[in-house]
Amino acid sequence: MSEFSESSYAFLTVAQKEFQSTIRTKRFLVFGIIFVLLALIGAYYGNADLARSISPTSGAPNPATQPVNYVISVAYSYSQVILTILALALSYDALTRERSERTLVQLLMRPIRRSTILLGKFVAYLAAAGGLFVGITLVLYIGLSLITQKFPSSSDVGYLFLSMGIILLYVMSFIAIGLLISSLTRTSLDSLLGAVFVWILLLIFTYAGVALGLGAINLSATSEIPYTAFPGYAKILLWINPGSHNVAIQSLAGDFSKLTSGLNYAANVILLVVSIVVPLLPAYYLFKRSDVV
Amino acid sequence: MNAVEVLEVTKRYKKGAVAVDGASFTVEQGAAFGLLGPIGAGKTSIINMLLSFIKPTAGTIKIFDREVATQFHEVQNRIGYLPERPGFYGNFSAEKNLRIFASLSGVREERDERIAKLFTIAGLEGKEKDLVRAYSLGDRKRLGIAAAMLNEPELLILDEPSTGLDPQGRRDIMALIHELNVHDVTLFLATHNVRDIAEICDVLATIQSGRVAAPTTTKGFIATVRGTTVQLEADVANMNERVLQAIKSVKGVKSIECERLKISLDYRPGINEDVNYIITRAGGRLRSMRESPSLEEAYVRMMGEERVE
Repeated sequence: MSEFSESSYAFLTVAQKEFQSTIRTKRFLVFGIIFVLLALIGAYYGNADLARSISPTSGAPNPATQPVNYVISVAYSYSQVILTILALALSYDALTRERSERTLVQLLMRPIRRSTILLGKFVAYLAAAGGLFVGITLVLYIGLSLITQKFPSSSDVGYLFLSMGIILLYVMSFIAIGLLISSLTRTSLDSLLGAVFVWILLLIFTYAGVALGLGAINLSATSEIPYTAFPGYAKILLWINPGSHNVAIQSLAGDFSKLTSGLNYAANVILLVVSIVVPLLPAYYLFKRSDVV
Repeated sequence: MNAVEVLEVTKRYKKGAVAVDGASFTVEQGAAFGLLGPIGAGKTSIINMLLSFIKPTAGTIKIFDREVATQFHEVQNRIGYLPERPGFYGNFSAEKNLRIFASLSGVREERDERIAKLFTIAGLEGKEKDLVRAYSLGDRKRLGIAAAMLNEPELLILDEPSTGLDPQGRRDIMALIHELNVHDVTLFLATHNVRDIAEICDVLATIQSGRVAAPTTTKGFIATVRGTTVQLEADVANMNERVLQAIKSVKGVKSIECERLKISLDYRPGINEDVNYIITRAGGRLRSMRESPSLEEAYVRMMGEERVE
């Protein structure tokens, strides 16, 4: 059997093992349930908006012409933060847990590359968190279409897939951050502390970016912040947090200049991909160089 | 051919602690080699370097003539490893664990048959579907051996295989390990338990504070310890002065009690055979032989002497 197919088989084995193990964890159950509840609450309020015939807002699908997309976007706004917490919760001790339970030794006793282990885990967490997200989105979409009797046009379906793609990239970026934390730390407790620290740090970057940006253009906080007018250093602080790029969904329906990133859809997608690759590369490097025991 | 070659290997950790200090030894293919030393002597560090889990600070390690530092992947699938506390996925059944590790070891076509056979060999029949978290330590060790044997290794590395086991569990595990050696699997057994070495190994090297002594046979090891004696008892029908003189003339014989022919010897290789030859020629029969100290006593005595020095 060729080396490629050997690697593929090992990769699938690791991913399958990790997925089956992940979906049995309490953390997946707890955060998964919270995510589903928040998505349902968002859908409920979004649906309530339809009944009130609210006027269109910037960045959101028009509730009159795209009712299902509108409800879905509200459901996203309620649930996407918990989805990233779920992604981080699954991945932050991916390697430290294997180390402390001494299963890493069992894995690395086998002819398997460390990159295969890392990528297998990455895909498993994406399948767990992303699968839950895609599943609940499709259920809501089909359910809402049937309830409202407004069936999506091809452009509506396009919106659905582009927005799901953005959220999946967003989830991936937090899985990558979790894997980096796991490769930087030695124990699960250290990993947990690291994950909390990084989470807070990303928030600080965002708030600091907004505060510095507003200060630079002599504006106090307003409902519509002109992000595109911010100086470069303030924008960079904002861009560090992948959360500033997931708003690219809104650029599908409105003016991107008012988005946190101040960038269009394609630029946000590129920066989301960068925010996946940037933590993954050092995670791989550190894992490759680290002692197994 | 050597299964393992360790040449001038040193492992110094970041904080300056020297775990292994210029160790050199070889293990022949098919041998049952024991690395004997107290807890913290550096045994596990040596194992971790053999398995490429950590890198030596200096020196070279070869397994089946391949350098571990650069060619480990070429011999990886010829090695099995039983850690002191084998790790498994507790939420999966024992069988599922072995399936995962078998798949990662490249075992495909005969995977399920091999796993079933290993459950039988390891004495875990009927426990295949049990979750590993419900396993006792003894059963985990058995499962660890099964996991180590998945790729049918030529070299099996065992780290403290009997630690934490009850007497029956220990006996079963040691019998299983011995059986593997009979089937030409080279054993590398690191332990602080002298009994494990005495029961399994034909060659041993001691390790103390990271320094490994030259390998020797177990008998040779006893002989290196000062004050080792052998007590022989024999029945000799035609005991006479000539026979006594012949025995006394053997180099190393210390004393003879004539009444019931008790002979005390200073140990050296071959001395038992020399005395036994004289007794047999005189129409006698060796009734008992007791070496003093035993391997365990010799080991404890040697460690004590090293500490004093």
